[in-house]
Amino acid sequence: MSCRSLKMPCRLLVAVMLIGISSLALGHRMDHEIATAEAQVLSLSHPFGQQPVFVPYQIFAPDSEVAFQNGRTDALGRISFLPDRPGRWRVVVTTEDGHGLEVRVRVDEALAVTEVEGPPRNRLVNILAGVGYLLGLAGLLILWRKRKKAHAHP
Amino acid sequence: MHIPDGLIAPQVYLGAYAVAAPAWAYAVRKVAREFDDALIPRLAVLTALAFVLTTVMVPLPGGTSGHLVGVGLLALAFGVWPAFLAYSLVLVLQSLLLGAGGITVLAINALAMGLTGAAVTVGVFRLLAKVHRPAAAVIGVWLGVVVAATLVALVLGIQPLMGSDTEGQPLFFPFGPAVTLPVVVGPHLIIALGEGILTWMVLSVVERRRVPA
Repeated sequence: MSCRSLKMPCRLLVAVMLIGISSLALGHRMDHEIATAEAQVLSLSHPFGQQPVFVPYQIFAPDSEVAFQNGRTDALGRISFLPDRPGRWRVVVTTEDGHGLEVRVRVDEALAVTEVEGPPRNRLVNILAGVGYLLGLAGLLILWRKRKKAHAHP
Repeated sequence: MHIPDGLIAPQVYLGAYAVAAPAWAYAVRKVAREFDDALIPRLAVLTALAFVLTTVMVPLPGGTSGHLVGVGLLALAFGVWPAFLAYSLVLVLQSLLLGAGGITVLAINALAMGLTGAAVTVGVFRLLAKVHRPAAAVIGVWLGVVVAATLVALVLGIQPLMGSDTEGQPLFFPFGPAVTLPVVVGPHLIIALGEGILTWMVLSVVERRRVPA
């Protein structure tokens, strides 16, 4: 067999090897596609109106302990996600100083949000209620101790 | 400073309950035995004031906010154990009514702020009161809040060691002490000073029957 007769098979062999190597490179490629969809947007804010920017959060799908999505709030303090199944979703936000927020979002079969549960919003009413409970408890305690003493010393 | 539910590993908060439960029991017995009934209305009013103080938000750089603690006021007025009990009640109400703190972490918050904060405040006050009573109160409250904040920061900071999921992400609070200590304690160095001054101002107009127990 002469060198000339080996040229074409060699070229074919090199060509096949190059194609094989380039197919490995396909694994590093990332395709993309863009579509318009309606997302759920959770807007966060601090007590004085400023937004928590780039604060870490996790989103858990119904009955799942592994995060469905995690990331950081955007530059306007928002979290957006597209639930892909009905049920009770959890959005957990954690700040570095140990403050946090857990919001539970109930999604129906049509993937629409039907209920949102989070911390109470009406602070003033709840503060007044707390003061009332404390004073009321003290009043009950005073009454109880008076009756106890009255029974002990009739 | 309150730690909310969901950030702390069960082994930590259950351990805290194991410590807090006998402390609460001891506090109840001690208070029932020694507390003067005539002080109950005053205790109620100052506990309500402490509750309101904890809702006062102080804006901090970066957009976040801190809040006053309020336990120093109770500790200096009534002593460590009544303050511990009263502040535990404040924490319960905050959790149920305001969504601040939590029930699973109640023991941690109570031990850090209600017991340690109160004990440090009273201890420092006793040491310095003979030198200058108002300064002793301010410094006592300041140190009580700072120590409580440090404890809270440390409890948060150890959570990354408590477990991680299949992807290596911490199951609970994700930041270590290198983050939590400056972020939690730093602002309270300032907030606690204001709280110390406010506490002394309140106490100076409230009649005190006895030195803290």
